[in-house]
Amino acid sequence: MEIAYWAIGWLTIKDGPGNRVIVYMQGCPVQCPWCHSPHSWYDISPLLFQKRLCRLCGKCEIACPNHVHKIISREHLIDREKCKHCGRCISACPYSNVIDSNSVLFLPTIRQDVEELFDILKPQLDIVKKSGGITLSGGEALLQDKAAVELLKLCRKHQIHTCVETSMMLPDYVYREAAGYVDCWLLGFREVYLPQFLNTETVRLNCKRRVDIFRQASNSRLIARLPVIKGYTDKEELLHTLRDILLENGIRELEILPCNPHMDHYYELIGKEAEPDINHSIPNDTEIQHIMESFLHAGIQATKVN
Amino acid sequence: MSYYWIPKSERIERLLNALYERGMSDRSSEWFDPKEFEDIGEKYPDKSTAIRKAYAIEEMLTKMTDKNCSKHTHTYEIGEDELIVGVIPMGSNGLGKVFPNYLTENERRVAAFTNKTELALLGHNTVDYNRLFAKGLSAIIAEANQKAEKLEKAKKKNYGKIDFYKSVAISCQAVIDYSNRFAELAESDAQKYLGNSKRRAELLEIARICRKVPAVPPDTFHEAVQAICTFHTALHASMNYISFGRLDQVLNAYLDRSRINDEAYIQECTELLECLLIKAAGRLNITTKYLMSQDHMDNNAALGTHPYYLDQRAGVNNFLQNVIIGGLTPDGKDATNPMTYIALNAFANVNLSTPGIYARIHKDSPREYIECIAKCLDQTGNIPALLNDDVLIPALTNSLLDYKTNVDDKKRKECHKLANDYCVDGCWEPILNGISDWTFGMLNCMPILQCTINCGASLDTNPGMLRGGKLSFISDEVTNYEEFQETFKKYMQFFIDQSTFSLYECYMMDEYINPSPLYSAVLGGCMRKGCDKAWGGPEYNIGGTIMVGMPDVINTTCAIKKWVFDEHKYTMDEVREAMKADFAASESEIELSEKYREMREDFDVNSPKFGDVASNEVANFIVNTFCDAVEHSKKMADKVFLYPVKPDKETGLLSPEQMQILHLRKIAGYYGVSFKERFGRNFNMHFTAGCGTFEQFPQQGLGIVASANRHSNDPMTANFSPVSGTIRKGVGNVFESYKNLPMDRLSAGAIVDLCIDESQKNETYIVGLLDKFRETNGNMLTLAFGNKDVYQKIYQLCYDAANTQDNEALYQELDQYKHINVRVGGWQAPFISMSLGQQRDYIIRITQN
Repeated sequence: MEIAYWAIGWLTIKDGPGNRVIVYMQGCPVQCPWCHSPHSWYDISPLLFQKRLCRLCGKCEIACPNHVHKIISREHLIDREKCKHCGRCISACPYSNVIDSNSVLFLPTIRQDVEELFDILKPQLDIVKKSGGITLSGGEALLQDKAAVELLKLCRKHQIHTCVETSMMLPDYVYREAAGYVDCWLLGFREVYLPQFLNTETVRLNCKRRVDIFRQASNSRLIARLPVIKGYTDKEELLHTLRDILLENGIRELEILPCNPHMDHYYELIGKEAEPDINHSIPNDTEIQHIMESFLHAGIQATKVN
Repeated sequence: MSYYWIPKSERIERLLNALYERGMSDRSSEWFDPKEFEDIGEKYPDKSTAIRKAYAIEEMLTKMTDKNCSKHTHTYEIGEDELIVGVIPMGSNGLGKVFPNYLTENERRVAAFTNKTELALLGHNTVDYNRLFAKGLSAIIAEANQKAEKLEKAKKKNYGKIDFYKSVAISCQAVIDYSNRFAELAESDAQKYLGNSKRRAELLEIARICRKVPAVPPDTFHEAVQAICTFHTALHASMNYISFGRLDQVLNAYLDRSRINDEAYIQECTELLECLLIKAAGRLNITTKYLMSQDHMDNNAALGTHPYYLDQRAGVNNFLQNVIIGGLTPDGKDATNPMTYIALNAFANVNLSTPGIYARIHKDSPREYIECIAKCLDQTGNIPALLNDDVLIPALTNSLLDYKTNVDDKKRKECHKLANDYCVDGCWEPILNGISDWTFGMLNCMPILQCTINCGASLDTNPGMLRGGKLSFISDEVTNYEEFQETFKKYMQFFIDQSTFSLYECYMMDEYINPSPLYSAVLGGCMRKGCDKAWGGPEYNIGGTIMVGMPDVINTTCAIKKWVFDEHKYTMDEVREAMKADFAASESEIELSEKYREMREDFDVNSPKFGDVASNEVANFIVNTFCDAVEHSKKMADKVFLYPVKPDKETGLLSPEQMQILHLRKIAGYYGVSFKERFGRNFNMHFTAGCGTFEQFPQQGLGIVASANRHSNDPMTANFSPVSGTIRKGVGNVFESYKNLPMDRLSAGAIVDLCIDESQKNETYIVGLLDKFRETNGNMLTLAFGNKDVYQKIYQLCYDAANTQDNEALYQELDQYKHINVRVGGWQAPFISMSLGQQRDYIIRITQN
């Protein structure tokens, strides 16, 4: 079975308990405005272009059969609508290659057989298996539910601790299918953070139902995650709802993730503008502390993850 | 067992600050001026070289404690906080050495022919301090005198042996005298501290200890550490850059058992060991500002008899001194002991680039020990280096058995026991613990590949060289991978024969030019046989061939196999021309330029890489071919040099085969008797194979045309590591790729240097790395955890400092980075002291875990 991912992080200590190998999977139905991986929203990532490294040689323009690239007045213009992801521009570019994410032009999406991916991951998982394990993230990791479950099964077979980060916005059957193979969930509560989705009561019911699935299938550890983006997820009402939901569902761990200061990076690379203004989105230490304390007072172990 | 992890004391902090201050200053005036020494060669022209060398050692140690000389050399001083005394004079592998001349003019002139001088000691060895401690120098002197007297009374005088014993006695006495002079200095300094009873007591204790050791065996931990320091100083002062050996095995016996759980006592012992480490690091030059005025390099670097000119700049802070801990005891039990943990603690506290520390690990190493190594690596970011007993012990055992499989159990057990007790020398080559001599040759593998694809000639850009440098015999053009393999094997054998024969040859003249009486006094076998280290004295002789550039050759072979032989995308001729042209054509040659660009991408990106399992088939072939060639070479070299050729007792005639051997011996330029007749019937040289570059990789790439992932003249890849910038699948996959390589055939070591982004390092992750390294048959490993941005910043400052007249402010800014050490190939170095080329390579090398 094929799996699509856009990167592997060979060591992280921020995405799950202990030392983790993290697979960033392709595709996301939620597309949060503060997402720092907007290229992961699609089935295939748009072409990434590092403008500052381009020497304007024009070889990509010649190589591309779909006229995606144009060098006009010392400006490299890219029409991604026309791009078929064939990679010819990358081969033609003297400063790019298909395996180097620091290339001028780069297509990060890799499609691979799950077992083949596991063979690549396994040696690194051997290193972290006593002190951590694997984390599937995204995009939305379980959007490719079948492939993700197959990968989780392989990890289970080799006694590797598994962790999945999810928006909690997928159909229940997806969670039922995966839950038996997940040791730890990183819970995104996007229905809470993006109030345009549903009203509060429905959110509460949805969350409860899904948490029950996570709990029933296995004795999983549940860690809630709250990205703090000023003007988006720092509203008192939202925090109050989250607090209640966590308490109602007996979730006692919360990770607070202050807005990523490099959030703009991938937007620049795919030629998009980020919705939040990065200069006004990052909470200061006092604001983070205030949020943390509000959860701590409620008996929820809140920790900051930088 | 649990251990204490003691933070460094204020005393150590002060001693380190003083060391850094010296290391950042202009040290050019600290060097001895050769004119300050008596010319021993001139004074005793009729004495043997061994006796003259002993007198030269005496002269050196005397001048080191001469108050006038010490005004600029600072070799006869006891620092404010010091508990361990003795000062090694300035010198290093790269900057050179200064030593009293002991050769006659005629000897020097003739020695030029074989690339030897009085400075040409190889070092690269280790001491088993238990041998020194078992007797003490006074008893060794008494034994030497007794044996010399006995020999003198014999009818048939063996002057070689008599002079050997005399040279031992003279040089050992010189060390005792040196130690006594430090006792005098400590006593005299104590008078200055009448108002400071604590320091006064410390100095009087130093005086007491220096009067006692190393003349007689030590009884306390402090005495043992001081004895090691004094002897180590004397060895290094006499140009023998020798390692400390298995210090945890030696010093553990001197820990007071009744106080082993007393934290205050462990703190004292840790501090004493730290004092020794700081002493050994006393010659550091951390800033590069004053290097030119300190360059004392002579033409002293000969490996075998071949001239090998060191990259002096790369070896500025290379002193060839390592400490080895952990591993197995000779009888195969786990050797970890309380001293092992103290050593790791002390090294973590001082975190100096020298001495180095190597931790031996094996499948039954205690978890606590592995965790303690991880703690040390986490704290320091680069020490200790790792040695895998599970691979190196079988490898060394096989080498000691000369790769014979049909040996009796007793012999195998005997060799296994020796291998269990192995050490590494001042670089990283495995040797036996204080009972072996080690010499080696280095061979660049890239010319072997070039000859294979270029019919016996190197690839050369000089048009005067026509097809290329004619290095060997001519061969046919290779047209498929099978032919490539067969041809490669032949050239490998050709070059390996050159290297290994040279190792035997070096034994033909060392005695007459580079005897080592002081070292021979404690090197197992020499005193028993009455022979110097250079005259077949040691119990064992090991000669290694260290292959340079294996990763580059493997990557290039993978690319050639794929694109020339499998895919037929390029012809061999096109590849040769592209390599010569550095994969670049002039802008006007648009088509060729495009072809080379594509070929470069195919070679650099679209081919299997060393450090990934995809390259295993080729890597296996290359490494096995090398090891096979060393084994075959051993058989041939033994035939020519080692075994006696004696006529049949009855007929008095030589057999045709014996005639052939004498004929071959003459072709090798040797007309003498076999080495077994010359050095004793047990003499043998065990040949080992290893892969590495040490710190020399920038120079080793000069004159070598482009290859996969490498431009013309770029450095070769350091040691046996993946080529910088080619690790794409995490370090776990790098370890995995070594699993199926014949690492247990590389008994001269194959060290992998990994530099990992430090941002998320932690002890538990490092434990996982160590386990994976051991489980996947890793041979040797160094880990450095670094920050690319910091390295980049340092590089920029160094670059600017080297290219600006007014650079004072830049050097001042560099001061804040003086504590950052990295692994350079053969040892650790302060990053700011490295050459720009090495720094550049390091920046590319950092991998994301």
